Amino acid sequence: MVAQQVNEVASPQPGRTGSGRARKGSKSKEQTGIAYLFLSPWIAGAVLLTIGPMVASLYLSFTDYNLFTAPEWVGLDNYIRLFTQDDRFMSSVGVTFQYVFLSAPLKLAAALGVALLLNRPRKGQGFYRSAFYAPSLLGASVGIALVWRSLFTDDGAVDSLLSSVGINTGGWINQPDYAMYVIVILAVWQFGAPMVIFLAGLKQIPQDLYDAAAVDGASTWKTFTSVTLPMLSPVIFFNLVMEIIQSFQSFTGAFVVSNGQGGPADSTLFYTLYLYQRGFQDFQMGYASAMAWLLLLTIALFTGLVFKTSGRWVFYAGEDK
Amino acid sequence: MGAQRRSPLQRGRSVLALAMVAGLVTACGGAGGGDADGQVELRFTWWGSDDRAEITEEAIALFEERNPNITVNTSYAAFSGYFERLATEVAGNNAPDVIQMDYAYLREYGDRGVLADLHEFDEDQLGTEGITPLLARSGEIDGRMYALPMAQNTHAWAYDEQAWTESGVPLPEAGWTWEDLLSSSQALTESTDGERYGTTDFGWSWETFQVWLRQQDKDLYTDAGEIDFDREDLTTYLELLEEFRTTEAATPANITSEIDGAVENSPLARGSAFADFTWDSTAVSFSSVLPDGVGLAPMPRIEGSDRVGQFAKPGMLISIAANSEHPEESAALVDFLLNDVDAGLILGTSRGMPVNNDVREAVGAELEGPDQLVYDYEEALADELEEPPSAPPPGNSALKREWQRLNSVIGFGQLSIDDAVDQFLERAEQEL
Repeated sequence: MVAQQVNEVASPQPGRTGSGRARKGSKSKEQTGIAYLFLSPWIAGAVLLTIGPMVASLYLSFTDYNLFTAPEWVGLDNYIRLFTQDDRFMSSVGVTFQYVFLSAPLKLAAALGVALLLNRPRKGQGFYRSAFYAPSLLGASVGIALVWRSLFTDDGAVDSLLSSVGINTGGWINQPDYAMYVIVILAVWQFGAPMVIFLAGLKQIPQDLYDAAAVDGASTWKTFTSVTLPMLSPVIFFNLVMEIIQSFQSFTGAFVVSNGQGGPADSTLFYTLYLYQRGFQDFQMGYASAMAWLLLLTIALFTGLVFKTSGRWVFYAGEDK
Repeated sequence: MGAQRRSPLQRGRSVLALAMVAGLVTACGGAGGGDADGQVELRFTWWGSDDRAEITEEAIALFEERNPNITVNTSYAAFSGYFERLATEVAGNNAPDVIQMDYAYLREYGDRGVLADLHEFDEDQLGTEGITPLLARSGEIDGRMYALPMAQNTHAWAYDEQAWTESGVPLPEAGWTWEDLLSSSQALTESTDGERYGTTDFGWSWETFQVWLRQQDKDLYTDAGEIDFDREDLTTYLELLEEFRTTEAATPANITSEIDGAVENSPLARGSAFADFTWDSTAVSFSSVLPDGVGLAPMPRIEGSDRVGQFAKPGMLISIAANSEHPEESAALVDFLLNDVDAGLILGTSRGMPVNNDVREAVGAELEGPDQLVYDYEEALADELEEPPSAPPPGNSALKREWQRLNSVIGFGQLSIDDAVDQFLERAEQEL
């Protein structure tokens, strides 16, 4: 906007005088006001529902707060307790990392794989795309998690099916060695959102590059690694960041599949689940707030790491490299 | 909000957000409101299933008919989630007037000034004289009456009567011991070649441990809120549980970990065990999933102990919010729900045995089927039932979860009993 005004000063247009400039200035002020007016619902929401509670929770994380009586300042006590006295906190951190490192890459791989298949023109394309996107619409619901639970229980559909071919695990969700995978599969199955973004990214890759590769006699694999992947890397980068953030915050699957317990034997005690137990079942809201802030910092750290390494593997078209 | 279904995350987020906003803005107005013509609105919240909702609404309708100036707005939820919601409502200064309360949370709310002291009401406003003496003081903490019991429950061992009889193993009877439970469970498992286990591993149940302790004149907690047992008790009990598992008398860890509190998902209902620990009023639900009928046995005893260890448990309690704008009308509603025979006949045993003696007799005369079974079970035990221990201290919910976790971890062979005992005692020290 400043640049625009400077331009106008430098080259006054015919029919415009100095007073015109002043009019323009007041008009833009007016427009700014209108812009804020239109933004106000969002601003009100952000301040009241996001920033306000965030500031409150930062404060609460330094207090002992049981929801009913006034918070009591305890300094860094909650944070110290988390790291020195709480084994379950540590195990929930372990469980969450395990989940993030399993589900984020697997989900992206599934999304990319299906996007590649759906990218080829074929009959009924629209139908397939909707069909593969459907789980993402349903997936986060409690209903689906309940279905998942009954599929993978002892004598559930999956267990019976596998038993009939001689693989007898005695259930999945009820065993500490397998329960995590059920929740990972549930997450991977909801690959719709990243898939749609991948599809859009694939459409952006210029056909000439593929034609050139074909002329050079590149194999399908070579074309994929040398053309598709580099050209898609900004989209992969975006999806990776989104998935990491989402997986750290994952809650519903673990909550429903383990019935809010994080069992069996704490194998699905996600960080958010433990946070919820602490806050809403044990009434230790200060402690839970401290956990929430550590989660925020961890997510920021990992997102930062991905950004930091992105210079090495993300390729933007038009960039000189 | 009512029975709307939303994902727990959504709910968690939005209630948190709401609570925060309410906290920031404060003064979100009290509960209900009255207008000029003397019309009063009360809010009453409880947990329970749909069938309980139906009869509760029916009873409320009768109350409104008799008190035309009072309108009762009700809301109910499943037990899981109920207290999370209540906590945020209370934190947001928006507590319902009349609240169905659980024994485990009574101290949590009572000690923090959320609940009214019911001693402040006259007997003709809120009658307590008819309430069974066993439970009359169960809602009292440090001289303040924070709640009145709505129903009486006690511990029981529920079993699949038909299957147990067919196996040829003698049925459990009053005075049986933990050794009897072990040997008959082993025999039951054997009779099915390990297809079905004698009993559900009762290590998930914090309450069973309590009964076992009480049989030795101890308890989970002292009145001061410390644990009332030592390393040795803990070790002995965990070894007893381990013996049930290693001899296949009880369900293995993978089956036990399917327990989620819903009757239909319990190993007893799913046909993987012959028996399970339960609250006697749950027998009604078991009988709907076990077509051949359910039997109830009292808790096994310690050989030579003369205490059954069981107590009359307030199945649910009912409280009035301390900051209710209509305490008198709230008291009238509570009085009606507890002491009115007509209300009692509508409510039946949905929450357990009625606590008012007149109501109990009236209801008892009309019972049949599984309700009758529960009634008879409690009548038979009436002389031995003890008064409930005082409400558990804050920290109980975390400790109970730790107990269930350790049982699962031991069951899967990931932790020795010695280490589990260490971890438990350490956790107890932190939480209490």
